[in-house]
Amino acid sequence: MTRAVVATQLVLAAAIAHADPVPGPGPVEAAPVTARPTLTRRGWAVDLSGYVQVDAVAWSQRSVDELGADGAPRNEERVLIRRGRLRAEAHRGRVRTAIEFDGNTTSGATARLLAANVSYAVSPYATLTAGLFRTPFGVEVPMAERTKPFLEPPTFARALVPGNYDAGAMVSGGYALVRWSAGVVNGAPVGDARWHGSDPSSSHDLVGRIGAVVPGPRKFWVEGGVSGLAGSGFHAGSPATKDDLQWTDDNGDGLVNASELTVVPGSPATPSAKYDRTALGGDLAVHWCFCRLGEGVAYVEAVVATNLDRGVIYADPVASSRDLRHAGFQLGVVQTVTKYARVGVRYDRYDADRDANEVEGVHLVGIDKTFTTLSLMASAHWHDARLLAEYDHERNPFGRGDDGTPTTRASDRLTLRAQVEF
Amino acid sequence: MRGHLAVALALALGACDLASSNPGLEAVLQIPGAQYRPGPFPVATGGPAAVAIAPRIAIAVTGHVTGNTLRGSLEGTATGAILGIVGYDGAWILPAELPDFDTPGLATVHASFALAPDFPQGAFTIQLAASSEAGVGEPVTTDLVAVDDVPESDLVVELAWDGRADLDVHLVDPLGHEAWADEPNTHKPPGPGEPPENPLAYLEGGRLDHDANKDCHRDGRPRERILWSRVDADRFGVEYVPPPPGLYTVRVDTRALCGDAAAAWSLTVYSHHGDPARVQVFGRATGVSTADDAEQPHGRGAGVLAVRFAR
Repeated sequence: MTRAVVATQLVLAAAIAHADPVPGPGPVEAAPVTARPTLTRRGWAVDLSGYVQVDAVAWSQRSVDELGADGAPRNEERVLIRRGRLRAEAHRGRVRTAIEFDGNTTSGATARLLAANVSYAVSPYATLTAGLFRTPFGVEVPMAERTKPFLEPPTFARALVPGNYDAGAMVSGGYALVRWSAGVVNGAPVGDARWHGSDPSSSHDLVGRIGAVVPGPRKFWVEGGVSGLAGSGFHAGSPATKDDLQWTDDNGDGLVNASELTVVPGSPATPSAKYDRTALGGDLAVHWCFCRLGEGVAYVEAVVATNLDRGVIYADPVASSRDLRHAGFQLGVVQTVTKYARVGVRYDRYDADRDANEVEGVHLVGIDKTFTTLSLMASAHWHDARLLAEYDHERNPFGRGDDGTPTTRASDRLTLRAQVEF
Repeated sequence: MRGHLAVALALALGACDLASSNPGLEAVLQIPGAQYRPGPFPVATGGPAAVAIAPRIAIAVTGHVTGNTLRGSLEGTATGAILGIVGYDGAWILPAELPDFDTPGLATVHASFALAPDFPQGAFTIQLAASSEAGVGEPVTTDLVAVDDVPESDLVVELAWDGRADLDVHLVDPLGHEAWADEPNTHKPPGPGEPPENPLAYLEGGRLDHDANKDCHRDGRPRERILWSRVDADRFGVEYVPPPPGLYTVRVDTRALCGDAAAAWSLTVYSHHGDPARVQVFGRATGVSTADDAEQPHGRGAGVLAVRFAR
């Protein structure tokens, strides 16, 4: 009986560790989840946790005291609640449920449901999860924000799986060195720039990752994996329109002349369409421990995808009459310096459209729609509190140089963050 | 200090050759959708030549975009174009476009532009330079005339405000006739059984030029004017009827705040005879519309009293 309870706890620990992975040699090590639960009268062990991240953007090159075309302020040098998370988890026997709320002031005060899922531990090697959970693709997307060393995900992660969470069903687990997860999701993550988490089509995306964790001597270990995604995107049709009359005061005389009137003919509704989208990713991380200094990790993650950008430059191959191919990667090194500090550097690159082109004078030329960010980070830790400073040096394709070709619009920034978790 | 540190980091990381993130809204020349380039117009550095620049019409109304378009032709090797006004800092960068049918072999550029509302009236010169990797070429210029959009009139009652709110100006003339958004003319047509009048008789009344921010559809700079237009009378060949003498009453009605917390407005009564130096102001008033004002009745007789004047 005792062994059964321990086994159940280990499986639950594995499941919870998957939902909120923490750096470590594998899911089965994340045992503290049962250390402080409250037992309800119905026999459920309930655990409440959360954290608050307060950001102060000390300096931003793109900040300007103006409003954008949508009326939103373009000032970025401000103090904001980047994340205020409250998470409740409950488990009883093989069944587990979790619900997480997020509040932030990124675009005005907002409170929203972030995660809500139920899990059933089928065996020590497999857990079924259904609901709203982190998309099991790669390493960056499923990782909990509270444990990430850098402020925000790399651009390719924000583009391909914006918001991280999607609704669906998933099976995950591990055996020996192998870790795996596979799921069927709506394909409309909560951060989708167009659909904001509501699924416009009945089709689903298949997504998953298989990897391995190989421990070595002296707390040295290596983990790596391969991820894939296949599914369908949605191109919205248009409703029927009526005839319309448009007047353009060509000569500026304030009078309506016949030559200034244009009839905009009505058009019938056009049907919506679906298109295929795919992604293939790989990741590798090497962990070490300099016993007097602290632990460190070097990692790389790369993704190639087609028609999957849902967050940065929305991919719609129907509208653009061609497939949009993306590629991105990140390289990072993070080193803990005693138990009170951590430093890190990360470089990420994302090409939103590898075949982009534009007319430049009399020529059609290929252009670069690449985002790169070099992030320098230093943080101080004390118990469950963290102070972090990060400088982001960004390149993007939003500006134009004197020669009329795309170039970077100044976008470097310095951000400070205070985080406390409980 | 933090800014200096960040700038030092930016320079160290090679961030000095970037496009500006300044949207350029303070510039006297505005080109929507183009890249703003602060500072003086670039000097020629041996780039491709600009061939010609041609505005659609030679008169540009300050504060308006409509009708203010221009087209330029550039040497075929050009990849970009830079537009600015001679004598003013701030320019705009546009990508060069395909040749037009009448200029084969030449790159082109098309732009809609606007002049800042406070841009001085009179002649000004727009310059266009072509550019490429080789540098910036010699600019070509064209002369235009800036005019403001204040119509010539013996009497103008102008309500101006900022934001999204839908305000309406109401004017009651000495004859007791009221003009506002729903009945935009102080001239009242003959009633049933009365003999018909000249179809152009409506030009005799004081007329509202337009209903700004109507139903919360936002105008760029919301303002409404009720005026007796001498220009319109001349244009239609009817005798100009000046505003009737006597006591005028002007009110401001708050139809809806459209999401704004309040709307500060200003009202000016003046006459304008073409020369800006001859604008004669008869009266001014200012006020703030609140949510309480929006809950009051609308229509004839609505609004808070702004000003009463006699002429």
